[in-house]
Amino acid sequence: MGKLKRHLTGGVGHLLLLAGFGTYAMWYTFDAYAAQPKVQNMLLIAPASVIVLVFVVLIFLSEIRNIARGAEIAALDEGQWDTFQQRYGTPCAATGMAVYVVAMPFVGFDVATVVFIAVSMILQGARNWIAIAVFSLVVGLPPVWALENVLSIPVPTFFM
Amino acid sequence: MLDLNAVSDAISLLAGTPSAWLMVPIGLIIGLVFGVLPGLSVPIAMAVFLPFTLYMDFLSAILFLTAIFTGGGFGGSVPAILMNVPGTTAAIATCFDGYPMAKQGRHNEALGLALAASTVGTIIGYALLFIILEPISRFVLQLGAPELFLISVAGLFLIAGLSGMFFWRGVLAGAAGLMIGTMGMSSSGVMRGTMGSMYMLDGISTTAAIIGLFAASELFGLARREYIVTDASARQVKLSLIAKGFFYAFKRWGMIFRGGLIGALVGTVPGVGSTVANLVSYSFARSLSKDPDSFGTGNPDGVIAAESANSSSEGGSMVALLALGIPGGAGTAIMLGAFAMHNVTGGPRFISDNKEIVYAIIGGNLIQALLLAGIGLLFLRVAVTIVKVPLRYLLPAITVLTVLGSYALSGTMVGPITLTGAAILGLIMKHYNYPAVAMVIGILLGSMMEGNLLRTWQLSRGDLSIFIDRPISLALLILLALAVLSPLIMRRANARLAKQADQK
Repeated sequence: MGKLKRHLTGGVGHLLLLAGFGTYAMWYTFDAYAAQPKVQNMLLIAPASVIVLVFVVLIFLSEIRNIARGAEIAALDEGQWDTFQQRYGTPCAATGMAVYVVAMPFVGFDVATVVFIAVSMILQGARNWIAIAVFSLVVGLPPVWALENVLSIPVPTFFM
Repeated sequence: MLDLNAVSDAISLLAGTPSAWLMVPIGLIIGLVFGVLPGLSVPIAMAVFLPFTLYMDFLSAILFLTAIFTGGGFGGSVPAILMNVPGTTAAIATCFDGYPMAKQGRHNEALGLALAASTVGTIIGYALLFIILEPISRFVLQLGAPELFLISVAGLFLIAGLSGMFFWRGVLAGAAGLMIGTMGMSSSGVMRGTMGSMYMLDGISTTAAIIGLFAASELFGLARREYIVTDASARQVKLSLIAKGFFYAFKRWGMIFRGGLIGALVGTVPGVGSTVANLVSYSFARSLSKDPDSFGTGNPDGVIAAESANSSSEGGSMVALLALGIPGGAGTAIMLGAFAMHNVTGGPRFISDNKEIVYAIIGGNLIQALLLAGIGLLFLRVAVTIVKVPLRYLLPAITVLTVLGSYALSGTMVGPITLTGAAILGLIMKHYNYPAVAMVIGILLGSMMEGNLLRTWQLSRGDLSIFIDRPISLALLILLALAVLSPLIMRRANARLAKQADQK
């Protein structure tokens, strides 16, 4: 498990990122070409795509050489971080934000925002339930209200 | 040439409009608050308060809106320094050295530096506008699509200056950014990369993408810590330290002046504005510094260069608005709305017929910059207490405001989705040493480059010799070639000198 994690955060993860850049460049270039196969439409997209693909290949090859030499595995950092928050804070925060954004239109901005704040506080070590409840309501609801009533932007909500 | 009678009339006009001086401090505070909140941009603040200007006279209305502009320009630096989250896209380069200063417990000083640089930058921008409004407006009118395209190409050169050790990864990220920036409907009406969604017709939300790429990796990283500033003794909030930073900036006159000049000139180019100005100025400061390696580690000069440029670009952007009647960016577009609401049409005729009003606007903004120093100092005293708030309270609040702000910008879920996608991409890119700033530059310039390249193509019917036929574009081409070749020539010359020294 530890070795897999180190591969994913090391050279193999880098190869996956490069594959992502390459896939995006090819998809977007083909999509643009399919929309209008004329020079005018590809004036900037084609050269930019070529640059992306050339550098993806070059950096990919260089990273494979590193992997072959056994230099790609990322250093373990478990020793520096003791608590759950310190070890998994970053991936939890990224996942939490993604779940929050996906949930917003379905459960309503008000509910999603209040729940996101409360869960984030708990994950970061808050244990005073009254403080969590009061803070998440006081900080979560006014911005949603302001979006709808001050900025006049329609917002899907559950209660408000 | 300066019309002294008009200047005298402008002074009388400013003195005889007390309502303007009531609205300016309010505008500055509104701008500061909107600038501090990531995602809520200054144009949003101006748009929200635009209807209020209907009840003001023209001069008060414009000064009120420019006060929001000025306050917001500086306000964006506060979260940039304290949390590495640029409050506005104009504060991107402020993060580079401002945040490392904050992590070292020098947040008070960094904010003082930013305030001084913003104040002086605004003054430089408007002072230059005062002097060169008429000649530069004639020059800006001569910039066509080929010249604007070459200016964007020059903007891409920033990638080289800002990518540090990972130049080739910067080129890859920059080219990918260019592609991302062109997604949506093109200038010729073709839809690319929309995945069939009508929400993607305008492409991705640029501001959301930029805030995501920059802010998120830091926000996610902060989730591991208890406070922004780890050392408890460094978490102090002292007006004396803010003032120390404020006055230190005045010892770096050359840096402020250069940043101000760069910002004002870049700001005059329509569509470029403060977002690019702060990056150009930072890049210059770093490349001309005797100690370029200290940039990015908490060098005060980095904060000064970025803040003086983004503030002075406001004066530059007013050139296109006042002299040509065209908006250079979202902020000046809203000001153009205020012009229309008061039945005023900007342009060369407006300047010649209403010189005293133009000078009054410029003079009002010069005084406004001085007011910013006072109001900003008091505002910072409150804003800096952010370092004393535990991150378990601060982080969810900032994340929520950023997500909701991105929704406010786009009016659809495209904003929050772009923000989150860019945030996760930014985190991964940071892990593998890909400079996020390179991708940001690509995203910012992508659509502008493509639009101008397409117009050049159409103008010349596919004949690229248009770039050497036009004198300004030829001059720009030569400058670009020199910029590419000069490091090579310098390196060779230095190597030869070193060899000669060794032989002696």
